[in-house]
Amino acid sequence: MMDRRTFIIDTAMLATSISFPFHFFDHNKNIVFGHQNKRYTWDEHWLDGLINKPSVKDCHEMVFTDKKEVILLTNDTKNNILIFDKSGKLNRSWGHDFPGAHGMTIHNEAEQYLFITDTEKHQFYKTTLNGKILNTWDCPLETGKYSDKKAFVPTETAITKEGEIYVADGYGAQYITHYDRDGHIKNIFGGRGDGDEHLDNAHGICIDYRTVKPTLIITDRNRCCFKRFTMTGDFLEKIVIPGANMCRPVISGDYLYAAVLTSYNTGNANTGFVIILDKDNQLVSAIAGTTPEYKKGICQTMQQTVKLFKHPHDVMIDDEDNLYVCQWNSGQILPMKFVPYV
Amino acid sequence: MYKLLIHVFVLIILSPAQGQNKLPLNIPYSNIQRAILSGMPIDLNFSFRMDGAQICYTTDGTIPGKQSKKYGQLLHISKPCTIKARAFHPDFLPSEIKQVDFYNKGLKIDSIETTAANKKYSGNGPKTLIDNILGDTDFKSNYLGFNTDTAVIDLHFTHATKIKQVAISFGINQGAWIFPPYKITVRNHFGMVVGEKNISNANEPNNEYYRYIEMPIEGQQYNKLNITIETLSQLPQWHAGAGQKPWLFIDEVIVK
Repeated sequence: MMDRRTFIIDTAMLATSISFPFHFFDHNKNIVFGHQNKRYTWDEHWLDGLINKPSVKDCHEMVFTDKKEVILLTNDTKNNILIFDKSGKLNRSWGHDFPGAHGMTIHNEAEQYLFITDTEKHQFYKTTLNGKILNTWDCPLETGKYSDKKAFVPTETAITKEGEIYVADGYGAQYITHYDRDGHIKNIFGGRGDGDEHLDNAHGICIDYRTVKPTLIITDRNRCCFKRFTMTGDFLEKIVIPGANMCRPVISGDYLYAAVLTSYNTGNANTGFVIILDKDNQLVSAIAGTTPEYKKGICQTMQQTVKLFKHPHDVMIDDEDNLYVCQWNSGQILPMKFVPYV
Repeated sequence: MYKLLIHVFVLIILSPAQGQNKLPLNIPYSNIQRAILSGMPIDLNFSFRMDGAQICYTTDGTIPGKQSKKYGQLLHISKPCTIKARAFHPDFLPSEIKQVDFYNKGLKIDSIETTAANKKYSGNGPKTLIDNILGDTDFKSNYLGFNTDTAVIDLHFTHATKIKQVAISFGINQGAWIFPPYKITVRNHFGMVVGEKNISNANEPNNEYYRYIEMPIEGQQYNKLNITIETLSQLPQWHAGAGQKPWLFIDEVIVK
């Protein structure tokens, strides 16, 4: 017969049996990733509360809403959009129309809207946060730069505060097409080539409001650099991070964050990491990447150090500076969350 | 209470979670992947900028452990060898092995002809294969790339030359549909087979970036050698491009 003492011991044993394998040896909990004042710990359990894992293919991009929700874009047409709260609870999902869902930008007007690019349908869209498609843009044939609609493979958009749109054709002809707030074409620049003004895998674009006048930062992924342009498409400068095949630039506060798909070249599978640059374009931290180092002002070659990621494709910063990373072609993994280490 | 203590102890020792959730390190970066020694020593540099990490290496082809030589500064390589290096860090599992091979330069080949490489991957023409420069892992230069059933190479020697071995270096990247050959046959001036090699594991998955295949041949004097390289007829069933034609990338032919 079980007495009280035995009951207490056995109950304690049961408790340790349940809890130990999951948390006591949570080795990575104490590991600090990154460098200088941009260091993080990995919250491996932020999605533990999900009862059913939602269906995803590639997890391409994320944005954070003014309602403090995390919106994830996947090219799985069972649910192109997944909306989580910061604790990892899946609030809702929508979207069956974007088989090539790739780029997603959030824009503030009277309410918030999404701009989504589709690399398979060769289009980009403006939608409400609830999934209603408001506008659709096709290949900008009228620019004279395209003879075939399928040559337009848009990867990203950037929207000014006034509502003007820039779309990057990062998997197509490498042009940046500029639309006015009514959706009419104003300008087109970039394109393939070897000049500073040209692009090779213009995978991402954002507007940098940290500068005196706003400027554009555009990814030139195959050449491991960001390029800064005026809002009218004039080349200004190149920010080279050798070894880093970066995706889109994401600016939060004074810092620029970017997922790096692979080290050295895009064929180098499972070697991604995350980079963080300050407002002077200096690389200050790399999560799962080598310690940033400059010699005579030149950033030294970066590479993955720890196999924390496979192919990071985007980063997102929430209102508490938590950092989220979603990944392409990485075993349908959902976004990972990192908490600032102070 | 002792039962509880024993139970906790056993859990600590046997817990499947212990150690297994450590992340592995990536392999160290090296300034060269492999090279042909042409007289001058070659500097080999490893780097892995990470606090607390240490690169250990061997020069005899054995697997490096924490007790192996610690990498500190440039290695000057003057003899053919295989360097193997790994990164270690107390918080992470060791990296996979980074291998860097150094080969001796071969005998002089006076001229070379090949069947047509694909236009996109035609390097500097057939001479690409006898320039003593190996290709890099980006496959952008110093390679001839073929997507045909066979690639044929003719080597010409002005003076009859005694040859005992033919070695061919191939670039491999199965994810990019670049596979090793299936069979290599070497014939003499009269069309007689003087060397042959079947590559039985050509269709098996691997993560190698190159393969250096050495073939002994009948040690005679030759003015010409004809090398026929056969590719897999199609990508294997396990591959994402199953049924389609694989690519063959060659960067160097060395005769000894």
